[in-house]
Amino acid sequence: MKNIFSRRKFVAAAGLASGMGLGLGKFEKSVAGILPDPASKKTDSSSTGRIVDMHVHYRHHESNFLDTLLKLSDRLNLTACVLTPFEHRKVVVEAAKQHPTQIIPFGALHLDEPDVTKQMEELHELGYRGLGEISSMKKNCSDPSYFPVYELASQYKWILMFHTGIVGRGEFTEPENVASGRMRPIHLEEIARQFPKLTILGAHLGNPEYEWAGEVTRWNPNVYFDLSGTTLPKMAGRLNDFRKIFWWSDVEWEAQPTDDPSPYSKLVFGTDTGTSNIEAVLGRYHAMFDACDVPERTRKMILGGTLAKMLGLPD
Amino acid sequence: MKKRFSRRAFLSTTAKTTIASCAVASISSAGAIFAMEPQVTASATGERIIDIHTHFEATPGYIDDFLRVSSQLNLTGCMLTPFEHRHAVAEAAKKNPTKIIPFGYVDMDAPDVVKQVEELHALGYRGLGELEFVKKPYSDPAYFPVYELANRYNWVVLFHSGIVLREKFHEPEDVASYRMRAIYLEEIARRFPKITVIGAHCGNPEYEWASEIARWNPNVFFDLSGSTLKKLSGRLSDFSKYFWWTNTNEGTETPHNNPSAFTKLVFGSDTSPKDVAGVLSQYHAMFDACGVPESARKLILGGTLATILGLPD
Repeated sequence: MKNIFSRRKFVAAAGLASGMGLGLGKFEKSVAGILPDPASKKTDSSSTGRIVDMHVHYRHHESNFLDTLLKLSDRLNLTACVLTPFEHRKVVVEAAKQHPTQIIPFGALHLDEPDVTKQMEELHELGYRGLGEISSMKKNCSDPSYFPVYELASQYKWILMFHTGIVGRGEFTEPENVASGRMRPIHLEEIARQFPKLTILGAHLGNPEYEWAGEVTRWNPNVYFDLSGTTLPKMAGRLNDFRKIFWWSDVEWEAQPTDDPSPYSKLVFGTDTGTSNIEAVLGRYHAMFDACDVPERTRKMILGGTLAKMLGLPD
Repeated sequence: MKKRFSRRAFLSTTAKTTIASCAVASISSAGAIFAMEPQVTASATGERIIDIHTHFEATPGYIDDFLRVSSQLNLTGCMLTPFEHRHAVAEAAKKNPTKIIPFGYVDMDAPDVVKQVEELHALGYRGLGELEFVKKPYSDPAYFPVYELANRYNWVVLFHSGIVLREKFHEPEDVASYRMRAIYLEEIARRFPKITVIGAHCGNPEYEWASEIARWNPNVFFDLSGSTLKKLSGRLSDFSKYFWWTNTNEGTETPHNNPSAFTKLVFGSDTSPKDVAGVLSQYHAMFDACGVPESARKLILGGTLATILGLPD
C-alpha cells in the first residue's frame, strides 16, 4: 500500500471503534453481529503450530513497534514477514538477525524508482527474503519495464508480495497517479508464468475480483493469496461463498503444488493490521475455516506451514 | 487449448466424476438427467447437435472415433485443426460434409498468418478456432488483417476466453489470460460485423461480461465448455443472472429471434469424442436448472450454428 500511514490511521481508528478493526461505518453493527468474537476463538498456536503472518507493515512511527511485535510473537508463536520501507532497512534487518524465527525482513520498494534493482541488491546483501507489499506502481504490475526486478528476484528465489485489487486512497485533495486496475490478480498470472521460480503472493485475494484470484491460483502453482484487508469483513455474512471461489477438487487440479488436495491450501495468513488486531484477523480466518469446513491439516498450512516451508523456518 | 493431451487426460478423468458432482447440484431432476444413457440424452430431441469446440487430435483413428460418435449422437463437429493437419481434415470434411466442418487453428502471431488464412479458405475451411495464446490482446490492431479476411469470408471465429491452462510449470512462458478476456471480443465484433464471434468458456470467470457482450452484439455467442459447468454445478441457476433479459426486449437480434436470452449460447464440448455426451448432460442440467424453454435448447444445441453454417436440418 502506498501511504501506509493514512491507511494505518484509518484501520487503527476503525479498530478502536469496533474493537475488531472492522469499523466500517454503517456496516459496523451488522458485521460485529455476524463475526465471531475473536476472543472466543482459540487463536493461540497450541493447535496450529507456528503462525506466519505474511503481511505485517513496519510501523516506524509507532514507538516500540518491534518490541510489541516480539511480545506478541512469543505469545502466539508468530513469525512476521515485516514489510519494510527502504529507509528503515537496517533497523529491521538487525532485529531479524537477533530474532531469526520471529522477524523475516521483506523490502517495500517502489517499482518505478530508477535505482530499484540497486536497492534490491542491497536488500539481498543485507539478508532480505523478498519484497512486499508491492503497490501503487505507475504501470500494470506485469509491464515488461518491471521485468528486471522480477528477474533479479527470481535469481534470489525471493517471495514477492503484491497488493491486489482496490487500493486505499492516500490523497483526497491532491492528484495522485494510482490505479487499482494496475494491480489486478490477473496481472499476477503473467508474472508467475514468465518467472516460474518466483513465489508470488497476492494480498486481499484480489478484492473484489475473488473469482479471478481463485482461477489464477488454481492454474499457477507459484501463486498464493492472503485474506487480509477488508475481504474477510466484507464476506463475514457469507463466508460460505469462499467455496465458490475455491471450488475445485484435486481431480482436476494439474497445478497442485503440494500433496494437500484442498484448494484452500493456496491461501496464506496475512493480517495487514496493527499488532493489537492480529488476533482479531486470526479469528476471522478461523471463522472462514469453520464456514467452509477447511480440513485441519490445511488450516495449519494456511496459518503457517506453507510459508514456514518456503522460508525454511523450523516447526 | 494448446497441449491437448494433458488437458484431454484431465477432462477425461473429470468427466467420470462430473456426473457425481453435478448430481450434488441439488436439482430435483438431476437423477433423471444423469441416469445416463448418454446416447438417449443426446438424441432425445432427434435434432442435429453441433459442437463448436471439437479439437482435432493427431492420433491414429481419431477421425473414425469421431464419426462413430457423430452417428450415435447426430453430431456435427466444427473440427479445430492445426494448420499442419489442414489437408487431412479438409479431406475428411469433403467426405462427411454434414458431420465435419473444418475450422483452422492458426498462430495469430505467426508472420505468415494471413497467408495461412487464405490457404485455409481456398481449402474450404469455414472459420478459425480456437484462437488463443496470443502475444497481445485479441483486439490489438496487429491482428486486424486476420479479422478483415475473416470478415470478408463471413467466417465463424472461435476464441478462447478467460483463464487459460498453464502448459509449463518450470519454464517461462509468454502467456496471459488477460489478453483473452471476453471484453476484447466486443471490439472485434463491432469492427468486423460479418464475423460470427464465439467465445469459448463464457469468459471464465467473467461470465457477466461475456453475457453483456453477447446481449449487445448480435454476432457474438459463447459456449460453456471447459470447467465452467463443472465449477457452477452446485449453483446452475446462477446462469439466469447472467442471461437475464429473456422476454424483456433488452436483447439484440439473433438468427431465430427466440425471446430466450440463453440463445446467445451454443454447444461446445472441448473434449474427446467419447466424453461429448457427458458435456451434453451438463448442458441439460443447466437447461433444467434455469428453465430454458425447449425451443431455445434446440437452438443452443445446434439450431443456431446450423443456420449460421447453412447446414441442413
